[in-house]
Amino acid sequence: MSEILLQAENLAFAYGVTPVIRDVSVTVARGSFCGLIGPNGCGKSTLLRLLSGVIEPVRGSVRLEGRPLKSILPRERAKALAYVPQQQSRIFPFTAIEVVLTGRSPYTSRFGFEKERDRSLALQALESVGAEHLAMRPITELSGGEQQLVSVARALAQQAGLLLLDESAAALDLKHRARLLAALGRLREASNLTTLIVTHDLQMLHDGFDRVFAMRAGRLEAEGAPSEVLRENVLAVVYDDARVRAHRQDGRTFVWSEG
Amino acid sequence: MMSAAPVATSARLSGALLVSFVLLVLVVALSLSSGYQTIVWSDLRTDETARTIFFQLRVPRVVLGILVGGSLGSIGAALQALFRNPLAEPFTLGVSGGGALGASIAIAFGFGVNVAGVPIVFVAAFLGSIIFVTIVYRLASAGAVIMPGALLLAGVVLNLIAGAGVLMIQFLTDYTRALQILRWMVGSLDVVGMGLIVRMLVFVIPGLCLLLFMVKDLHVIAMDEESAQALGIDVRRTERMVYVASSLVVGVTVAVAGPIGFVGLIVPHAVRLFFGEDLRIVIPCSMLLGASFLVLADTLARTLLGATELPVGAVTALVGGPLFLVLLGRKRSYAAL
Repeated sequence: MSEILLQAENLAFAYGVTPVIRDVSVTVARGSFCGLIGPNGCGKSTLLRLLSGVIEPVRGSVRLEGRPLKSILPRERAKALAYVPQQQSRIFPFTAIEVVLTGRSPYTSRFGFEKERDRSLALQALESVGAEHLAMRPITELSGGEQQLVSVARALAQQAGLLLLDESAAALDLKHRARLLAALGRLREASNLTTLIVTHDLQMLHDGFDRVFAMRAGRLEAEGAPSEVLRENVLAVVYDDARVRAHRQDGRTFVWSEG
Repeated sequence: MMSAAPVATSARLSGALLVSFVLLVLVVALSLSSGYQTIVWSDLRTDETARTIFFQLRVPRVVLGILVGGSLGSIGAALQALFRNPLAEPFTLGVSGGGALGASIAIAFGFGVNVAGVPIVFVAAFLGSIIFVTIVYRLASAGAVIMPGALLLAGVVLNLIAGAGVLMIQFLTDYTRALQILRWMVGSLDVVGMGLIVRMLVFVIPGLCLLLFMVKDLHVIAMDEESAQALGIDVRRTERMVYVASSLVVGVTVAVAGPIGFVGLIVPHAVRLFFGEDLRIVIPCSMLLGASFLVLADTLARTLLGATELPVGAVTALVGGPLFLVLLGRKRSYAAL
């Protein structure tokens, strides 16, 4: 349907000798809204790391706008692609706005400081995820969900065309989760933002999502529209659970396991 | 909208630098005018003895204090950011210990040797420091993660090993050299003339320039390593740069002044308390305030007991050690310890 933004082919990766990703190929179209699901330890986070360029695959390649990811200078890459890791160290009490402002660091020179424009972009990013009231709070004092909002705001401040979010909505309450998704939807309308989000919350993947990738044991098990992937027979294989149940209503799929 | 818009970082940096600089000037003035021998300013023109005391002893001592204190303060701030560990500093990470061991070996084999004007002891201390910091880092890192507990433990153990090595050398070498090592190990800013200081600068200036070159990267790394990588920062390269910078600077300061502990711990903490967390402010201000702190500590060390001079290393350790314990006790405010 549309232009390919990110294309990964035959990726393989291992931490030490344990293979984590085995021959995964993924294509993400520009402006699409994608989810990545799968059981714990199936390699979702590692795949996201590979796609972000933070780690390099043992085999296979990642291309961003047709260019090999590893041929792009890290600073340039950070202007095109923003990645929010699942876990982040929070040792020093930086204020939330200081954290978000580092999203502007690919745009500032080595000895330059953020300008007024960077500051207003950072505040806008906080506002769009509903966290502007946290701006001056020390990050170490924020709750897990509030920290996630700040991390996403930093990624938004990068003004990259592609967002890779690793469970960035996991600790959010209902309202903030909806608000975050709505914000990403607005950015897609306004600037053709592409998002790939890892999640365990399957009902978050409403029909507004273009594509869902389902992984199992380091491989891509299924992909397609939410209505195609979030089905009992598919999920039973992905989660290795015959008692998984799925119920569709109002463009959403409610999924649970009878255990 | 935010009503209290945060003050621009550049404005905060200028303010913090100004305050720190004024403080340093005041401390230097105090230090130059105090001492066992009272110096009357007008005598400097006429009195040969007063001139010698002032220019050959007091001024070099203050300059050395500025160099060593500034180095330890800023390196401490950088190491804390790099390892995301508020208890990291040259002393606790074994960088000082490695430098001390290297320097002791060099002293045992002959202090006065210069190669192209650079004392062998400086080079040996640099090598000792960089070897130790590399070992500590290797021991403490598992994959991409640095284990904060293992980091400090490895540092402490390597310091003990270095200490044992220094003792062994003291024991084996002849009496005068052993005494020389003993006095130097306590940490002192005792120096005569500017010759040695000028030679130190060959190491310290490139080291500190390298460090200032990395402050922006360190600011982002202090928040989270993987996010920093995602923001386009080459974390591995920054690590190597900071190791080289801290070994250059700490190695040489240890070689001249002995392993002075806790300056690199106290100063960055004080700076953060007053000026916030931004490393682009914390590192340069730790340089200025580290200089003030050590010059002040040395002034106390040489005036507190009249003619008897206390070792400055003991003074900083007596102030810094308990503070370290207080920080350790409050570790809950630092999530990952």
